[in-house]
Amino acid sequence: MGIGPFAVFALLFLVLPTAGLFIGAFQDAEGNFTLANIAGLMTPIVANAFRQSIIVSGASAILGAVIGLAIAMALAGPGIPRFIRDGLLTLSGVASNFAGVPLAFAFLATIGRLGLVTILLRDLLGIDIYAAGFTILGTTGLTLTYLYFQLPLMVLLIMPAVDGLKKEWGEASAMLGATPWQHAWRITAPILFPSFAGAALLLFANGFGAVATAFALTGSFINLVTILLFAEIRGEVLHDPNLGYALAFGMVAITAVCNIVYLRLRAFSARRFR
Amino acid sequence: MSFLSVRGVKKAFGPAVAVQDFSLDAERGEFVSLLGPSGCGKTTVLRMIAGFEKPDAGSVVIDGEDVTHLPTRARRIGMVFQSYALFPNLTVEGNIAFGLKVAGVAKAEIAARVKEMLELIGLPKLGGRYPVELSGGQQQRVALARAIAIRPRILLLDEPLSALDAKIRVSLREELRAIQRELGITAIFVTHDQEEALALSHRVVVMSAGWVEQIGTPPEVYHTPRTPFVATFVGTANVLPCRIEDVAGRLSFHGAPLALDHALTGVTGGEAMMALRPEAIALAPFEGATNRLDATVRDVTFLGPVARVRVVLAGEIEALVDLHGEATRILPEPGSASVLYFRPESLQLLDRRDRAG
Repeated sequence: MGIGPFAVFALLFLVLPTAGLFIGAFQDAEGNFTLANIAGLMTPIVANAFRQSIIVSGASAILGAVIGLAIAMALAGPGIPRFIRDGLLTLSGVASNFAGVPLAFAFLATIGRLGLVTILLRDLLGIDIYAAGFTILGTTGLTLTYLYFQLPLMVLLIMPAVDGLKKEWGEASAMLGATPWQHAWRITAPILFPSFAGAALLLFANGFGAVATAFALTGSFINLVTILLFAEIRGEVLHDPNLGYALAFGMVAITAVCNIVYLRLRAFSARRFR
Repeated sequence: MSFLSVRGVKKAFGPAVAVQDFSLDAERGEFVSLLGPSGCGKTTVLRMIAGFEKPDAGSVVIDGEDVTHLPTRARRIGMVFQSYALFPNLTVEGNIAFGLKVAGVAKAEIAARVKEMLELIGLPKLGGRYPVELSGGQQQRVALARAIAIRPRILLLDEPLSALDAKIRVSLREELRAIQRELGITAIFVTHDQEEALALSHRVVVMSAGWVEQIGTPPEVYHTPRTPFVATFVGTANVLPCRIEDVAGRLSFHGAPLALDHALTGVTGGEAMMALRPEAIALAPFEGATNRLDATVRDVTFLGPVARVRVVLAGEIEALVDLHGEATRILPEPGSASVLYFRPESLQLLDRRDRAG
């Protein structure tokens, strides 16, 4: 009975909309069954949007995962004062939820064409990042912006696994004659890998579903699935809600796979490394 | 020269001094226990021998080689941890083979050694299991096999039995001793459990607050404790004040004359402390029991093979008497007057150690 309210909530706002999406993806404007929307996913503009989304979310997930892991390992290491660790984890909790218009504005104001950092780099150090080809409106700029929430999210996701590494494993390795590198390669890496890969997949799904940040930052300058979806449903220039459903269906499929693999990896870790 | 020689080792963590001037010599094949309560510095000593902690002063020499400044991996020691510390990503075989693999030993030799180790610890069929699929006792056996697979010069055991339940603890303790004797490896065993220390060791080092209280064989430590701490930590003892009357070994307790079984050297008389085990006392005369003290029975607890009698001596000082066997058939009444009988050799004069500075 305790999960009743949650079940009703999930039914109304998760299960029914997803079912609606699923049905809509196989209907035309008149409500007749069709596979045209799914076929529409293969058109160059849609395929390109998926590719672009995968590149941005993939790059931000990989970079976020690697750097986030390094930060988590540093935080769990000896000699880090408690207040630094607690402070950084709190900051990660806040930053991982900082997205959308405020984040886009913050990045435009710092590394936009007339951003503070851009101007300071140009005037003080003579480095003109825009002349060097960088643009906040491109894939690199968007990846960088996504990293702002991907990286702290990784720190939060991987921290429990890093904290679970026992000091005695390192000591046992040393006692058995292993170098720190041998220990890292043969023990730490295999133990952390399922958690790392799972968290990276979650970051990928997180980046894949992000819309507000990209839209606020680039408008429709970058062709991401979420932006295309937004355009198809809102219908200012493009309007094909059923293709929108198919796009959303494709997204749900990709993020669902990511989540399922994440949960399986997490369960494996919990079972083997508890 | 001893096989393991620890000389004048000291260690402080900030203002807290963990180990004060620790020295120990252990022979090849000897089993030495470091026994003491939590925080007495025993684990720190072990970790300094292992190389996990660097001593502030002193030296550690193994088989003639000064390893004080060598990293752990170069010391060729084996260690078994309280928490087993098996690598969870490796199978039992993988764990046992780990040290051989990183040393670059040939595959065939590793396989043979792993098989030999699995048989030694009595788990020949569990090589393919992961640590999480093993019981605590099995995990600790594997940890032992992993530690000795590399043929270490010294085996260090950091409370390896304390995470196990009582029954497993006793059986594994016996196996541990058998394996150590069979391999003839020098072992240093840390424990807070006096029974374990007495049962396993050739010699016991009793520690308290960073100091070595006494080093001796289990019977020496038990029967001739040197300090009040050893007397009360190893077994149960009545530690009573006394007065040294003369160098011939005559003492007195609140005016009652007592005698030691030996003459004293270098003692000029005065106040002292003595230890007397409860089981060395009887409430009836017996052969050789020339020492006597008047007492009043306070209470009696019957425990089956033993009856523990709490008595009050002169000066309102409490003491315990353990009655065994037939003596437990008729128990004294609380409040009744009684006489404690014990032999001179049961009395042990204790050092009054001044540790200031």
